[in-house]
Amino acid sequence: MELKYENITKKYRRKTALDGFNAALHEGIYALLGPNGAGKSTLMNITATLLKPTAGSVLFDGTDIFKLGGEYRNILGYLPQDPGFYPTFSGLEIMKYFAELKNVNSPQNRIEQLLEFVNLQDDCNRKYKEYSGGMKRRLGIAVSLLNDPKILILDEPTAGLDPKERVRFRNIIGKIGSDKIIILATHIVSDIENIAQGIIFLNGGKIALSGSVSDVLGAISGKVYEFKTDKKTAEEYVFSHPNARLIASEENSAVRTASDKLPSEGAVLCEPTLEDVYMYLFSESSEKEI
Amino acid sequence: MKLLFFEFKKIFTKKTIILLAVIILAQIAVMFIPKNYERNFSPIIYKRYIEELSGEFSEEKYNAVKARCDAINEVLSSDDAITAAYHNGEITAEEYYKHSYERTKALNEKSTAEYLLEKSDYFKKIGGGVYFYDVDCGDFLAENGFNFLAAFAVIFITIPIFCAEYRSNARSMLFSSVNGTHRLCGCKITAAAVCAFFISMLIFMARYCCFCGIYGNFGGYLVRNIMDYSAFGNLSIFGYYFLNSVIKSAGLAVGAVFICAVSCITGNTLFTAFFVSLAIFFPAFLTVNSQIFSYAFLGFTIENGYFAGANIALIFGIMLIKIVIYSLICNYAWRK
Repeated sequence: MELKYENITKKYRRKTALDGFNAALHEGIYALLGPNGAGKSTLMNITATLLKPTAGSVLFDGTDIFKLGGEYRNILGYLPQDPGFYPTFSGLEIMKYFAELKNVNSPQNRIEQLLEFVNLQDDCNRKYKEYSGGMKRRLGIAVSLLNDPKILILDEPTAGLDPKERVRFRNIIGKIGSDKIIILATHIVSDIENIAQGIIFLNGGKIALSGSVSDVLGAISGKVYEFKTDKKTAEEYVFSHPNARLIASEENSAVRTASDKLPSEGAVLCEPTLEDVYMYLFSESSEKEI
Repeated sequence: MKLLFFEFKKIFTKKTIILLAVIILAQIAVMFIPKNYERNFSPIIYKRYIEELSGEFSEEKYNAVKARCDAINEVLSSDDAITAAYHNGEITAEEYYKHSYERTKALNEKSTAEYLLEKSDYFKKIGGGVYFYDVDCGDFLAENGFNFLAAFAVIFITIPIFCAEYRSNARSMLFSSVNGTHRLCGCKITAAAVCAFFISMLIFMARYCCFCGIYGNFGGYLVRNIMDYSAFGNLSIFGYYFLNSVIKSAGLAVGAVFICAVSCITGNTLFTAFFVSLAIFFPAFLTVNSQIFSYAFLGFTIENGYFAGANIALIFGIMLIKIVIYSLICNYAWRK
């Protein structure tokens, strides 16, 4: 199974949201990372056939997804950041409604199975408007999985969730990722750190960096430093270096930064994390040499 | 069918049901607003005559009405001669006062008796009829024009069918589903049209029930017993009102599909509300003196409630064509 993006460009009048995007995705979880306006949502909307690219094509197993039409949407699951479910419907009714929309065979069994999977079986008769943020997200995941999609697109799935719900959500995604292409857009790096097989950093509609977790971490290997200093100096340093961050706020603060140069005398090299890569790539004043 | 059921469920929220109840109550309240109709006869005198004549038309009743008209005319025509006779001392004051009383009475009843004679002539011409107090029925049917309350209810209920999906961002979720485009759009249009039809019928029938509650149930009488309604053969008053309501409700169902099309083009509740209100209410205001605008959405029965001489098949044929055109626009804009 392959989802291939060939030179995808999307322009909105003067603004270019995506500029010659190329990628080939296979079974696994792919994270799309990037700041606001990087082109993540545009890419997701194109993948979900909600938007047509200005140029280029998206191929599923060699066929253009817009030509596949209903056949493609049959194997597609999409969960936008705000799915806009109906507040007066119960969770179960929402599931039944979307089962009908997604042409699900024997929907009753599938719905029960999924409600159990996302742990909503006891709350499925409650109205959607009474659900917590986490319950709404879990219901969204259940809905997007109704047709057992081969391609699952999740837009900012953990936005607004508390840490416990985020972990729960991560576990659910981790479980279902083996036989599907899951594309997950997020700002929260820790959400995908341990579950993503591939990571695509987007910036200004272009790929800033992509590859497996080890590939992208390797890209800034030898550029991540930590150094200790007094609190005032640390705060001043962080203020003037957007890619640096405080990692402790006691008397002797420590600063962590991704930089091409030694940031300070006594700074020690550290193992990079995805957050370091994100900070390195998307901080305006950082000097990137990848 | 299940999709359609869910679309109905989305439409009939608590808010919608409360609004419908308020509109029906408003419809009933409107019935109690006093109306001042200009008539060239007295309904009170007419009612008194009708009580005497009540029942099937007959030659005897016709003759009685004619005799009463002749008597009235005779009293009035003899007035000059009797006045002169009184001044000349040919008749007593008592005789003259008696004549004055008869003259005043004749003057009061003249127009009503003439109207009754006209009605009797009308019965004679159409080969029969029933005398009953039809003034209220006539007024009721003549008022059966454009129903602003029903149109408002249809606009209020139909706009969210598509606009709510745009507002809540559910559209993207729906579009990514295999049945979320054409089939869903078809279901929404069907739900809009069916709801508009039945809600309008409910409002129209509430009006009818209220009329029966106030004036009594005249529904069983043939509508041709009311003058000006001769073209309706054996249609009862209820049948006439019902058929008229069906045509207007179907017109409002067409209006609902039009609202769906506008919703999908604008994707915005406020713009849609503004535009469709303009498109539906504005022609209705203009139809007072213009037949052309009455064709816009609701067929040509809206401006005065009559459909005499109308080709019902043609009305429904035009409605069907409009529904198809609006549906195609809606489907195209929804997918866009």
